[in-house]
Amino acid sequence: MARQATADPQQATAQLVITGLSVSFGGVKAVNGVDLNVGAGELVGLIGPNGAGKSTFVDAVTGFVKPAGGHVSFADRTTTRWAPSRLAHAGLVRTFQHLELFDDLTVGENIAIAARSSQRGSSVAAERAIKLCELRDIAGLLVTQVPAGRRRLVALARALAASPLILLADEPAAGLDSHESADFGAVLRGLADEGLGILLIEHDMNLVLSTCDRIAVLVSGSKLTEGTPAEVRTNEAVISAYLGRAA
Amino acid sequence: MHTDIYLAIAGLGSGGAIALMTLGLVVIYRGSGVLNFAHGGIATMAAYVFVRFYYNWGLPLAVGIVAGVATATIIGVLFQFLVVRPIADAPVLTKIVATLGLLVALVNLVPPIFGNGLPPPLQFLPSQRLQLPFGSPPFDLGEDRLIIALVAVVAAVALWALYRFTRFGVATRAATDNERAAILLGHSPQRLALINWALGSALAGCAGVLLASLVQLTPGYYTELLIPVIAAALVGGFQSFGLAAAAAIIIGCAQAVLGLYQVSWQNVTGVPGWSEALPFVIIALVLALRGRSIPERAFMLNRPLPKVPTRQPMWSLAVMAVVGIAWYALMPGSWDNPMTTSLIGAVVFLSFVVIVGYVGQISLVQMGFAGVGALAAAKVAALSGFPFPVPLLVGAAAAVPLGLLIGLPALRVRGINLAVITLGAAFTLEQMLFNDPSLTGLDTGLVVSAPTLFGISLNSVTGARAFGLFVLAVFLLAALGVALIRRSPLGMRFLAIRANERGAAAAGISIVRTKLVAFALAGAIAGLAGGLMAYQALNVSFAEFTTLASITYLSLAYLGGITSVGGALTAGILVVSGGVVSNLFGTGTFSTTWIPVLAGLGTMQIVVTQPEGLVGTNAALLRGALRALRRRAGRAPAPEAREPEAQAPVPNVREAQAPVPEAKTIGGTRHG
Repeated sequence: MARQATADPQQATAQLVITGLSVSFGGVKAVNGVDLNVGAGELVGLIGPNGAGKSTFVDAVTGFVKPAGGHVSFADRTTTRWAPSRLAHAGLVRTFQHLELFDDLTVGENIAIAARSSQRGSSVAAERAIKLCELRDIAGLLVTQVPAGRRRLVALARALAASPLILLADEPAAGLDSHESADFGAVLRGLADEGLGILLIEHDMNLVLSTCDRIAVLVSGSKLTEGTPAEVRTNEAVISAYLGRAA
Repeated sequence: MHTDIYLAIAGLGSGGAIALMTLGLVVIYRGSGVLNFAHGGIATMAAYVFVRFYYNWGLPLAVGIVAGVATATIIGVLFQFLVVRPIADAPVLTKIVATLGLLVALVNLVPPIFGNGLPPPLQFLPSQRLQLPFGSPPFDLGEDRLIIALVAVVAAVALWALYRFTRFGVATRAATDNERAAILLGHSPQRLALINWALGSALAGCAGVLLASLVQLTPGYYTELLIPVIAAALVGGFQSFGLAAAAAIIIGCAQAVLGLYQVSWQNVTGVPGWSEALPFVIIALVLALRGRSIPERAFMLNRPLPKVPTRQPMWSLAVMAVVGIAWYALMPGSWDNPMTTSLIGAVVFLSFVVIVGYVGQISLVQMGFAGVGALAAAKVAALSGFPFPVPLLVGAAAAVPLGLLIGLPALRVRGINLAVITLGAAFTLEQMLFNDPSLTGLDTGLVVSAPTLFGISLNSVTGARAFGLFVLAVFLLAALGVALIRRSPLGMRFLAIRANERGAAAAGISIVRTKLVAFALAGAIAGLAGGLMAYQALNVSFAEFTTLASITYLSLAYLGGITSVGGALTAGILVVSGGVVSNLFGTGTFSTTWIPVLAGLGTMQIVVTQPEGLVGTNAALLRGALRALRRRAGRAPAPEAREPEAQAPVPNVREAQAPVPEAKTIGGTRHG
């Protein structure tokens, strides 16, 4: 299963180190002192119930929300207050739960823009992303003409076209059926095995438990626990907080 | 000090009228999420109808008032029903343009219906002076002013109660917060919006009628009131009736006091317009302090912004060049200047294509940039040692820093808020720069000496043909640039930002830099157009570069087609006053008054039915005609020259990581 990392020497050192990250909205702590690391070639899951602060956490790491405290370093540089575009240039790329695609442009243009605008992006990366996500046949269609399931792949392809070192995928499989979701997991696994570091924010427990190397559990803005899928699966606190007491 | 207080009290009258208009604006915004830029136009219509009934026809006061307010209400209801409702699911930009179209139509309808005569202040309200129980000597206050202020206060309280306690009010608030939920609760958001539009327009009508008692009516008066009205509404967060009304009254009073110091401040600072600038200062402060101040309403968006053609074929530019040259070579001399006017207008529209069409940022200040370009060009031309094209370039360059300055707020605010900021900026430029007699010569204008290039006279009067050809060349260059931008990486970034800012930032696009580049570019193009206007006029009147002109030009740009070079040219030819089509109808009332009215109505129509503008309609017609011709010629229909499918994104960008490892594909995983 494990493959050799790609030739890019940077990928070996690329690491996202988040320490004590907090976000507050008008006095309410949405994220409260969370520590998390993602290394090259690692697929890390971030799970938690609705409203646990998962998306806010990603927003804060990627510069879309100003953190109230804490520290983010990426590839050995402090990136805590960097703008989203600067982070993307450096290789920290994200996808969105609500996709945020360029709706009035074609699928091909969506991907080409990321390939051209990001410093690391390239036409080769774009080509590869199109192939990986099987978008060749719809490259000329407007995003709005593409069915919802494949839009998720467009969003993934756009992120990959920027040649990320670390990918933060915010609920990439939301709304997919269990087969599609499993496929998605396999693709992410494959990307990680090639050296891409991935933080997978997901609601679907099965997907995360079956694909991730390591899983962190976020509850009410704080990290409840972190461990291997086996550890998390059996953790009493996780079961009661996340799956509900009945489980 | 005594005088200050005296003036402040006298300002209660206009303050009260501003408050009434503000209340109407807030009602419409809360009820439908539309910031009604035509609010002043509706008030104008009401006032003129009132004047006609009461003053011209001598009908009883009550009949006049009812007629005026009813007119306003009907306009609001029709507009909501015919224009706003069909575009309920369109982006903010589209809705703003629709209200701008209405404003243009209403303001231009005044002269053909009511004539150009200005009725005096009618003083139909009792104007006895009331002694106030304080001050020495005691202050007094005209009853009329007191009445207007009281009406505003009563209206504010009534609205507060209406929204607080009635089923209708609660439903409106629910629809504002969550349209979908309101529908589920059995309310029709469109019906609520209709009632709110009626109510809000009626309030604008009241303000229009009452103010006609105090001031002399001009078509533009209420349009300019829009700035203090928006300022007051902002203070109330487009929510609170009480705060908005209070702010409006205070603004009215403060402006009255500032009017006193205006002249002495102008003598010290050399800048006029302090009183008029106050509302803009308030707008800027509120937006700066609160960031997003007009609460953006979440709509169920379905309609996209007008499509930007992937390729604007270069051959069409060549056709434009040939037709242009032929025009100047073959048409009688009297047609030279109209074409030149159209082409210069088209350059202004090109600046809208960049900022509005490509980047989706609303700018109501483009004619302000043009004015700055004209001013700089005229000033530099007056100096010796700067031969002809130089002043033109300086004019373009002069608008760049201004474009950047006005682009700055665009980094934080968008949509309605940006429209408000740029509107305020246009108004401030008009009041503080263009109205400065020492700078612009105000009534007499600035004289610009006719240019020569390579020994050829480009005098727009005696050498209209040569000047026209020069303008044609400038237009073609600008058009080529704007068309090329669309295909460039910069153009892609523009479109990405227009489509989705969050997505664009995540894709590595610097929103800050890209927007500033767009504003600078659009500023430069508008400044260039301004310089051309100066050289065409040879005696520049800065009365052309008003806020209303900026509004009109945006509306016209949308009518022609906001997203393409062809649209800019279409608008230039068809609807620019003094342009080709306008000249076709001579100098009679049709071209001076009805063309602008039709343009305003046309904008509303276009916004609803054909967002790509007239050029989109024309292109469709042309394609149809070509097909028919081919069929008649008996030839097999040649394959349609279709937009090339988005090229596979394999441009020669940067070389990537050398080996491309084969990864599993989504569909192939199970058997991979």
